[in-house]
Amino acid sequence: MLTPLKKQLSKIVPCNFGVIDQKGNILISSDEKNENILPLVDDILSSSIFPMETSSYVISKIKPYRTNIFYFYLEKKVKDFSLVLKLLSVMTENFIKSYYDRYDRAHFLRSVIQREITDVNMRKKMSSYKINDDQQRIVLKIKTIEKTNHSMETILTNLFIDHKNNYIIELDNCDIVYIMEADEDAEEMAILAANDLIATIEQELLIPVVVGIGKIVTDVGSLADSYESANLACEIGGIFELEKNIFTYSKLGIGVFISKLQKEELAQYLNMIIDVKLFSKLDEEIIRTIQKFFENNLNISETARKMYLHRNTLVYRIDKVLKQTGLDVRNFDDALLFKTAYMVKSYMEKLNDNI
Amino acid sequence: MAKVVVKNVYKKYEPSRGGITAVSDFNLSIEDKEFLVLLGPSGCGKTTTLRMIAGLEDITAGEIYIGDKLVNDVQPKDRDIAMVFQNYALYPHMSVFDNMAFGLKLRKTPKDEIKKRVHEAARILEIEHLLDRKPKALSGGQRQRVALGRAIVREPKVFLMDEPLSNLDAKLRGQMRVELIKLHQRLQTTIIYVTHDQVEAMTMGTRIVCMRLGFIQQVDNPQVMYDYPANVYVAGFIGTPQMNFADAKIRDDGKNVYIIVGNSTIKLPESRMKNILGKGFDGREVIMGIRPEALHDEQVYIDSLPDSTVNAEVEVVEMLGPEALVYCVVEGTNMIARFKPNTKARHGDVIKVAIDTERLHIFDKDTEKALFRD
Repeated sequence: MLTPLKKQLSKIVPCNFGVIDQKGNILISSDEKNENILPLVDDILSSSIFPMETSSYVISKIKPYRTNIFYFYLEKKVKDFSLVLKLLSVMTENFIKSYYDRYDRAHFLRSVIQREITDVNMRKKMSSYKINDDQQRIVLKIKTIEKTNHSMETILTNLFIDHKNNYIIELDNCDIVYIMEADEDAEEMAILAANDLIATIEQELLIPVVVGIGKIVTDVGSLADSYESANLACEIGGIFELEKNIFTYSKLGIGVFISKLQKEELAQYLNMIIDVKLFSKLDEEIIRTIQKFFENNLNISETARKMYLHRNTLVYRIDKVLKQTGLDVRNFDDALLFKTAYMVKSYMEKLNDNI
Repeated sequence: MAKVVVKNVYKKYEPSRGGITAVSDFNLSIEDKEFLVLLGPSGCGKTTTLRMIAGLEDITAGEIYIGDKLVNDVQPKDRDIAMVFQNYALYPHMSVFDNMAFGLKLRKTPKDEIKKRVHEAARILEIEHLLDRKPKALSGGQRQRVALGRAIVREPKVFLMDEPLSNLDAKLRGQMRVELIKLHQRLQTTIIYVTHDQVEAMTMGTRIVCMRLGFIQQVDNPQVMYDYPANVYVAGFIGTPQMNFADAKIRDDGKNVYIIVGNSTIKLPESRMKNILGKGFDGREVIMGIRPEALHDEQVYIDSLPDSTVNAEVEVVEMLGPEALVYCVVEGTNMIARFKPNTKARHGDVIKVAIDTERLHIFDKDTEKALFRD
């Protein structure tokens, strides 16, 4: 918590200084061995008079927030040490206060996204934490399969340290939520942030990460909706999009609709639009080709170019689909049927996996 | 430093994810200190292969060895690897030193060791003078070096790089290519590098693995891959502008082999006919491939190659300074020729073009494999 403060003070304070908590732990110290201050710790904790003065130190008591107490000590090797102690104590108090404020805000926002706070309480706290309600925000859910012992949170905190109004909330050791303020191009900004954080976490921790990007919302109360949509993107994005690790809710399209239907309804729909047996016989090469054809907006030349295929080979494969399923994916309506059939089939397989 | 062996590796997604096989029967032995490039278009399985070696992606079948150790069940962090990605974000408030040291601090590496490794990495990357700077005071290339530094300080046996230069502009990409080659020479370690850019692959790789739809198409050193592509796909993927292709037919009269393209007949030289002559290819439909630089409009070539000279209708001439790219139609097929800049070819001309038949490629029309690669 106090390491950045230590770094800042080390540059300007020419003698030993440090901070002790109410249990006697030395939280920061400019002298790593702490040889001179350690014997004084018990006296400091039991003292009732502050500023306290010993032969080599002056010590002040700091009570930045709630019931927590800290002690700032300064070696008397500096001119006007009483004044310097006062100034440094104020700085430290403000630093700790802002840290706790931030921590508490994150705690508050966690209860908001998990719908664990009443509307009245939410309004009250928003005002006390000075959180602007009229602000566009977007929630990113960062998910990994491995427990990271807070390393992931530490990385993200350092990565996004410049974004003071964004919040990192650790839900458990595997899942983290990042709430971003974003005005224009919110989704593009979120994708950029997701790319950065995935690359950094995978490089530093060597663990695979996926990110779900939720809906853009315009008030604090709707953050829960953005969180839920980010969750949904994480859950079902991977079913419909292979080899991706960023899933955006707004791009799930009919995937959202499919995920809300019952298994029986899905089976009924699938049987209605296609002969499932014939559909299942399509080989991988054909499926990949058609997926690429869809990604390239049903453009034969562009798909052939991107797949390094001869145009005639692509046309042959499309004709094969027509022969096997009766769907001519060159036509928009048939392409839509093929796409939904494929998505429904994949989702049903996922439901079967989960049974 | 370590050898990496990938044996019969498959990656097949569960049926609920389409059951697609992203990587099929991948077999490769990557030598210690090799700079191996996995090359192919998006969706060819190159990144999946790299991530399987890293352990960030499960393998469906097969074995992966790093050094002599089977790592199938070894956690990525224990595989002694380091990764570099195309996206790299530096910690904005930290100095270059701290950016490079951060990962080591997370792993509780002793301070003295961190200091030693960071300074050594900075020396290799020639950024020692930048160690106190913050990222915002760095240029794009310097930032990229810091990102590389974060990987170097891990002192891994193998570096895995996933398109690390893709986000850089063309000029910087060119500079960083050279930097990476130098870095490989200094580090003397194994690098596996993924790219879709064939220029990167050709210039940096000691060997290239060309992939398509999860299958290895060819593994060779860059020059061999350029000169002797195994199939139409590799031939088209390697080289800019890409190889020209035309449908053709083989004629074998028992003494010589000819390639018939439209109304033109091209006689193959001995070196190119040995795998075809008398082997039952007469009348076989094939695909003829010619690199743009194997087409010549100079009189000396036209005079010396009368058996392989064709007419070409010039459509566009692009003067590029050291060369001219001439877009033309040869026997109904669009082709690009790379001529000398003093070419007299102009839009609308019908010119004579000599084909350097020593550099002619012939591919089977059904299998698309090269006929005389052996």
